[in-house]
Amino acid sequence: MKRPALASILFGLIPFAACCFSVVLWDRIDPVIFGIPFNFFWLTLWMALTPVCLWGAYRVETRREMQARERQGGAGAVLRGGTEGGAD
Amino acid sequence: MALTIISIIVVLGSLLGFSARYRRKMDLEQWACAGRGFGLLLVWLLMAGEMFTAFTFLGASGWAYSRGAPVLYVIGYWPLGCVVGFYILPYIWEAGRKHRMQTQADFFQVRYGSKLLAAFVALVGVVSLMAYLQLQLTGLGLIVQEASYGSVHRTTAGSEGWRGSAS
Repeated sequence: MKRPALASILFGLIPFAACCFSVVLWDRIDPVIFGIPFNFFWLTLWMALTPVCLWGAYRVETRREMQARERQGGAGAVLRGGTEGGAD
Repeated sequence: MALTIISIIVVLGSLLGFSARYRRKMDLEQWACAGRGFGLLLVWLLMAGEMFTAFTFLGASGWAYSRGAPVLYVIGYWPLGCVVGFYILPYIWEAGRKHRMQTQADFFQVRYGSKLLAAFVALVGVVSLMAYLQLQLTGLGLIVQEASYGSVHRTTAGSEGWRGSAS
């Protein structure tokens, strides 16, 4: 099996950067948004934004898979062309 | 009223389980991973069931009430756990399908070729799950006790739940 592409891993690292490695930046009460403290709002926001990041990663992976399949199809066509040429 | 709803759901679920036995031949693969044939919608619903446990409704909210801010980690770790799953679960699924693996121990046996290691992993898994199982049954018992306004004691409900999951 193939490893995930670098671009898709970068998409997956965005939620970690936003929720784990930047706590000092958003761990505060103000501004209070929709009546909830900012850190609570931030984490809840990333509950919604994490699927968006994963959707990006999924797009990268499916595009890569499609390209690999096309390349395989292309190589097969060349191979078939080669044998036909040999038969002639 | 709430107890009636719980009873109806339990009876309907049991009937579904028994009727499934007659339609299709059941083996260990059917029981453990449903013949690897679940569709997208069913898996999505099962994932929701996997996440919203007794801890979600009782543990996390009770913890937030008694301890406050530390419980915020719950909101963070769910989505991040799904991110990790996005990268590793397709590989595990593919490996499981290829080698017809059904449990975690099977994976270690195939990957490292050691029956002893597989038995050890299975043992550690069972021992580790004991505490979790106990928590879930206690949570279930509390839900039934509250839903029946105290007419069913939580230890009775918990032991019935234990019998139900064991049979």
